[in-house]
Amino acid sequence: MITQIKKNWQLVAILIIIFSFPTFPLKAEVTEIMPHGTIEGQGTYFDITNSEYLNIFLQSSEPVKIRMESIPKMITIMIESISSAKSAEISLSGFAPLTTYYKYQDDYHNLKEFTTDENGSYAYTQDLSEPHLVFIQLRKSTKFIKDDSTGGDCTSIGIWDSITKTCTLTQDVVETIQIDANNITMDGAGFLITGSGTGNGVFVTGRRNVTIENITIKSFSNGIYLNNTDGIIVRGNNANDGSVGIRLFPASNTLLENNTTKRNSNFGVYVILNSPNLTMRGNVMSDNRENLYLRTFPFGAFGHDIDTTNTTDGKPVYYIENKNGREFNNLGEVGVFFCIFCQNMVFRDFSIDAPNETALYLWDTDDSVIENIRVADNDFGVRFEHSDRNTVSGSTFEHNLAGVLLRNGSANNIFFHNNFIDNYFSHVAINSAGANIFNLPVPDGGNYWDTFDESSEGCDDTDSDGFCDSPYVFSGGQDNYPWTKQDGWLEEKSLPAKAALLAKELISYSYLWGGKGWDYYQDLFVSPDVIKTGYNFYNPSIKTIDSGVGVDCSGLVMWAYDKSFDPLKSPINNFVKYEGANGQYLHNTTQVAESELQPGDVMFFDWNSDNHIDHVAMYVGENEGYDVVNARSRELGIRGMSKNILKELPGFVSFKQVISALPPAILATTHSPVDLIVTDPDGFTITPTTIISSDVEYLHEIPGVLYYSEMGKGEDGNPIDQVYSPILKIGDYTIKIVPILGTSPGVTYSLIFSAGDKTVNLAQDMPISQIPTNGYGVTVSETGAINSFIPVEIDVRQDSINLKSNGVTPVVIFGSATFDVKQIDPTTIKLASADIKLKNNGQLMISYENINEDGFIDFVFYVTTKELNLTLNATKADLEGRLITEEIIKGSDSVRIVPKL
Amino acid sequence: MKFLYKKIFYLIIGIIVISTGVYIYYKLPNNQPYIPPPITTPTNTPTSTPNNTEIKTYRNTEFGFEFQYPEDWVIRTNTSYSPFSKFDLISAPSEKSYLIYYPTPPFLINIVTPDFAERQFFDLKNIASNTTVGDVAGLKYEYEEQNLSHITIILPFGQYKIILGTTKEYEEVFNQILASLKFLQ
Repeated sequence: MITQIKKNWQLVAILIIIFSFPTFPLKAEVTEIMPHGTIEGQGTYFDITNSEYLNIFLQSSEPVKIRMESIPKMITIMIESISSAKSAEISLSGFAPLTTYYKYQDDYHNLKEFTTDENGSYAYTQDLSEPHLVFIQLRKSTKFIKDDSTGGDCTSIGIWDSITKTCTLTQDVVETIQIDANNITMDGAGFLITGSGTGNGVFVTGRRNVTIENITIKSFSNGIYLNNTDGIIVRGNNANDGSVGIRLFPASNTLLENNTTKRNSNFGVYVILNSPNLTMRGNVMSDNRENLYLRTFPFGAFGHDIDTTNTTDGKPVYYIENKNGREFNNLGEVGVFFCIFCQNMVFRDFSIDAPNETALYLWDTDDSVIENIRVADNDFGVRFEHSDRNTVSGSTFEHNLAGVLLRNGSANNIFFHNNFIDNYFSHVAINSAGANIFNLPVPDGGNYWDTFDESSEGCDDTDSDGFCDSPYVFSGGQDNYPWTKQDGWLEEKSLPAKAALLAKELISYSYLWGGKGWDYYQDLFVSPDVIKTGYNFYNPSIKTIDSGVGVDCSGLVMWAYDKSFDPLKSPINNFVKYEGANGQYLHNTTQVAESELQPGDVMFFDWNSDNHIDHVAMYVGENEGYDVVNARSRELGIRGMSKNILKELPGFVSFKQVISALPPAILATTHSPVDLIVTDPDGFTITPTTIISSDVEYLHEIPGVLYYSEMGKGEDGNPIDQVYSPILKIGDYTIKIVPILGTSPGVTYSLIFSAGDKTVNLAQDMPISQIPTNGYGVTVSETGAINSFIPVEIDVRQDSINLKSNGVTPVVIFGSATFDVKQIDPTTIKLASADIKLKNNGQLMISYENINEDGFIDFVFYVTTKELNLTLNATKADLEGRLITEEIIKGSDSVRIVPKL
Repeated sequence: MKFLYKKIFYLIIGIIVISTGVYIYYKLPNNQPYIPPPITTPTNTPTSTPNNTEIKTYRNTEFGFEFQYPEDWVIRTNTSYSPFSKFDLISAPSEKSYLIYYPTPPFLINIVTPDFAERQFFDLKNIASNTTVGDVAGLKYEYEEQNLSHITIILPFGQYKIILGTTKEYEEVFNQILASLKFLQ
């Protein structure tokens, strides 16, 4: 680490300056993050401070635009006027004193030799009538290859073929070779060009269609230097042991093929400025300080074709441009990765730890996922420029200068569950970027930052929730839920702990009576942010879809647990199934001692001592000033309170631990614009208007017996009405369907009834107009079997029954618009086990009449009173029979047995 | 060159000092443990009401208001934590002092950020009526919720809003308290 800092301290210093003073008022304006020994900008003086060679200071009498580099044994200055001035007095300092240098302008033909003064300075007049490339080196002597009879100086070092315009070396060379004509081939034939650490090995400026091949070039500032060229082929060369192996500065339509660049002190291949359409095949870049530096994009140069046959330190180079929806998974070790104009990409499960300027470079790349990558020992781990809405998670950024760099308006990128470790300038460097997000809501939270994981760094975790209590704030962003441990998110939190975290999220927000955090239209438990901004819910008190902000007390418990358990599961299939505090108390919790309280446990209250729980609050563990989250009221909101105060209140009932409620023992569900009326075998009936009077809570239930829910949305947009019970009773359930007022008769409904693991489909797409008058019936037997029946309305037409009577008892089964009594099979009918009496002629004593004058024929029959299997205490008589279609019908009526003994 | 290094060194030191100062200024207050504002001790001003019930005066010098309330009522301030609430006061008859911790106490004052008041009562805007308390015009809401009849008044209060609340059961005392409420600033 210290070594790395030492190695890069100059760069660190300049980055501090760049990020602190992007528009430093006195100096030239810095517009780009530069490699070592490089400065670029506009102004009148320029100061290189981090060169491994000479830290050159340039002062101009006129404002100029400059890019100045000081790499070993060579100074390069690109200079142009930004005013009307045609020349400027240039003063350079920082050279070795009293030393002779060779200054070239534009190419090696224009030499000016100079000797610095005792201060290492030199001044000259610079022409500014046009842009110039000036390079200053310690050594002169150049071979110029031209298109003439001898190939210029070619014949002094090789063979010139004037037909093919090829100069083929026949010996090693110790000078710079400058190509001075178009369409020339410089073939090294394996010979060596050796420099003394300064100048350029092969220099091409302003030429087209030149080929440089088969040369081994060593110990130059730049092995091969292409400047303002077009269509150059660089093939089969070795450019090693200098400062830069191959430099394109700028160069269009270049082919780099099967070249090797090794052990260069700066870059293996260096491509910047307006250098479009670079093709790279089979190049080997290794052991350079940075193997491939490719930054043409800020200059509008794209169209590169670089495939994975290129390697950096033996690892493949990935370059993707204009791709949509591709996935890059399990790539192993990657050399460097560029994604330019990409959309909806996936980068997953690979590492980039070669020493790149940028390991993963995203330019104008949006809506992509970066997951589980490791980026180490680069200048910048992942660089975002003009790149929005990408998600980075599960990744590690380690030993980089900056783990992440966000620039050029990149916005709305999300970072969570990443480890930022030992990045020695900044974990995240942000410059001219938009707003980005560095955490999700709890329980997911943010990232791990090794510079913010101890109390001395501002990270305390008093509630042991795994997050620092304070946000990690850095220049340009903040992580509101920094993890205290590396990979802390992999340590699975218990469900109660997650619920407690979520509950704490709502401290200070709104109370919403009837709000449970379940969005009616989205079919999910919403995020904390949505709780705070508003969602849609079915409000049973006004029986319509409502919208609001917040939750109520039982909603806090349901939302916190169910959101943590599975936000997409409907409440009735989720962890906390009961909407009200009373149901949660009875069926979703178990007793816990105060001494064993854990975050996520709850406190129940019965304010008016009517044995209905009115209120619930969640214990969340010790926080700064509170340990209970209490969704209290509209006026007071959701507040943090003290357990020790709440437990002393007269209405406090008990501490309880939240447990998963058992699936409903019975469940009636209808998906349609209808309500339900359900009667259980014991005669308990719940209707759409059944409300239990309770302080605070809206309880749509018969406590402990039947519960009514309308939270979910059916496919037709109407609420799913559900009646459920935790208790399975043996006997007959009846379910009546009540259409919502104003519903068209042609609208259909469906009805499903479940008991245990058995389900019966009672109605499927049935028109509202055909709702059975007496509803549907289901018999649950002791074996668990369920059978449907048709409930019928009957009337035992005797005010009282004397079981010793020798007479008969008349009974009516009423017909209706949906029940035709002619469908009854009279031979199957029994009232209290008594068959229909036979007449003397052997016929059944039955008739069909409109008894109640409702326009529908009723079925009248008689049974022998003595045959009624009723006790003296009986209060009702049950009827059972079948239709001719074999469907079972059932009904019952109250009876009074006389005389009583 | 030494001069340039020195410049960079001083520049870095300057940045660190300024950044630390800015950090402390903006950040530190948010990291402080929650400390309730000082509770203003009620000043005992024995006075007789028309029905001879003794009254006390509560004066809050920090927020600048005072009101009179029955002597046999208890007052608690800042008993719970909420960042949006700058100050809260809850009160109940002493024989039912536990009511101050119930979801809706017999009397409450909650000084809140305007956005809290807005989102909590937005859906009731159609039932709001104009009212004046202590010469300050505000809105009054009467509504059924949590199986209780609520009366809530919201007044502007400098950069905040002040919520005054009760339930129908305590409306008479509530009105007496409001009649005595004075804003001192």
